[in-house]
Formats: sequence, C-alpha cells, structure tokens
Amino acid sequence: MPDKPDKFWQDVAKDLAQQAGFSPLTPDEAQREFEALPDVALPESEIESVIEQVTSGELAVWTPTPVNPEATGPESQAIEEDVLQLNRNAGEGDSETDELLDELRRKALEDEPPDGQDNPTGTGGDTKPPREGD
Amino acid sequence: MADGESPITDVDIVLMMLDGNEEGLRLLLTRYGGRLKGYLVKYYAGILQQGELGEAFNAAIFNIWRFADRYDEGKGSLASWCIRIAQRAAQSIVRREFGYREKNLEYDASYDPAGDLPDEQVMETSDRPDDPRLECLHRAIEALPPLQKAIIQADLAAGDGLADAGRLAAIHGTSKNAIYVSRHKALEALKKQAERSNSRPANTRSSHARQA
Repeated sequence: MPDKPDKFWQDVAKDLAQQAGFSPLTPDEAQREFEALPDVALPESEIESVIEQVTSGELAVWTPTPVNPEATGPESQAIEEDVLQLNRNAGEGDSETDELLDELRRKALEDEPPDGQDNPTGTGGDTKPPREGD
Repeated sequence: MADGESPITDVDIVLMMLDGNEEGLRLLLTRYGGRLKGYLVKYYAGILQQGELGEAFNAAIFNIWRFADRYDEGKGSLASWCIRIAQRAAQSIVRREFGYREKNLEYDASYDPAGDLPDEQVMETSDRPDDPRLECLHRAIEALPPLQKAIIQADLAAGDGLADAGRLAAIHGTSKNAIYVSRHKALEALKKQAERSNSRPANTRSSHARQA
C-alpha cells in the first residue's frame, strides 16, 4: 500500500495542522511562540552533555519502543487479523492434507462415539456432567 | 541584545559559533535552551517518545551550531530561527527522514536548516482558521480509536507528508500493514464526518432560503 496522502487528506491536513500548531512557522510566528514559552534554564550538566554530543557530531539516535500494548493492543490485533485475511495466500492444493482435514472435520462433527470407547464429552451419556464424588 | 542586560548580543553568539568556539554554544544553550526544549515538549510530547524529544533537541542544536553561517539577522531574531530549526528537527523524526544530517549539506549553500518559509499555498490556510468543518474534524479525530487517532495526530505533526509507518508500528507494537490499514480506516471515518458537516450548512441555508 503506498505511503502517500490521499486527496481528501491533502485538502484538509494543512488547515488542521495549522490549527494544531504543526504548520511550518514563519519567523514572526516562531518569535511569538518563543515569547509565549516560560523561560526555564537548562541544568548545567545537560548543557555540557549537549555540547559534547554536538561538537563531536555523534548524536544519539533513539529507537522507538512499544508503548503500553493495552492502549492499542486489541484494536491493533484485530487489524492484524484483517491484514492476514486480506493477504492470505491459499497456496497449492495437497490431496493428503485435504484428506486429513476432511477426516478431522468428520471426527469433530460426529455426534456419537464409536462403540466400546469412552464418551469424549466425559458425561458417559448423561445429560448432566458428574457431580463431585460420582 | 536578547535579554537587555547581557553585553553579549545574539550576533556575538553566532560569530562565536562560526569560529567553532564552544562558549558560543554554551551561551546559546543558557539563553535559549530551556525555551527550545519547552517548545518541543509543548507540541511534540504527545507525538514523540521521551528519547525522541531529546534526539530532536540535540539535532536542532547540532544544526544551529553547524549552520550558524546561514543565520540572517534581517529575517528574524536568533530565537525565532532556533525555534524553526527545532520544529524541523521534530518533524524529521516523525517522518523518520535523516537527510538533514548529511555531511554534504554543509556544502549546499541553498540548504536552510530552519526550513523553507511557508509558501503562498500554506499561507492561504490562515484565511480559514474558524472553518466549522475543521472544528468538526478535530472532534472526529478525538473520537477515533486510539491507534487511528495516534496515526492521524502523527501525520499532522509530520508537517508536509505522512508520519513514518515503520516508526508508528514499532511504537504501537504492530506491523506497517496494520498502520496503513488503520490510517485508511481513519481517513474514511474523517471523510464521512467532513461530508456530513458539509451537508448540514447546505441544508440549513436552503431552509433559510425557503423561509425567506
């Protein structure tokens, strides 16, 4: 999927970005922003650390780390499933695998167990499950 | 003179940096560092991670130091130039574009570390800051599911272009495909909302016309 803005987004994004303060600033706008900010001094240690990085040209690059997965997890998982379904490759048919799948489906759909075997539900044919001590 | 008290002017600071004098950088950070950082936190704390904010700050200072010769006092104060460089550094991280770090930019006289000034097309947008459709879209963005909202907000913060899908995928613990799909869903939802808000004033206008 191309990573390009669509027509609708191109039309409104600049206006929305400007309202949110993300548009490229003009010198006057930048000056107003600067004057509106509280004048807080940087700690001396931070100043020295920045000077060291900047003058050496060795800037630390931060690798993004996952945020709390609960925040977007379920939504993201649902989308992942959608993506897998959309992109699923059926592949080539395999008669052995198809037969095995059919057999497993038949077994799963069987209502009654074969003679001489335990009831797979564990109820022994009773409509209710066994109570404790039964 | 920036603070009205210090005998060292902004131009002095720039000249010191041009000479490779670290004292110029120290003065710049002492005078403007706090507010530059404050600017990044104010606008990008919800978009960039803590480490990325630090990266944007360092990248901005690096470019101020490296391109001090591009500062033009006639186009605004040093503080305003620095704020614009900080904005560009933050946007580069959202878009995950690191071209601005290339060594050869120092030899490109046309390169402006503060970014090109907004063109006419961008300036036109300021004519409609109270557009009710925009207010409606802001509300619609707030109402989006968390992942879709994060993607759209990052796209807005990216400035010109889209936020990098790989970065968003890493942050939200998902795949780039999921980011593309979520972005598509979000834009569809916003499009519908925009269409609804477009149709409402038209109906209102026509009913007024009938009454008249």
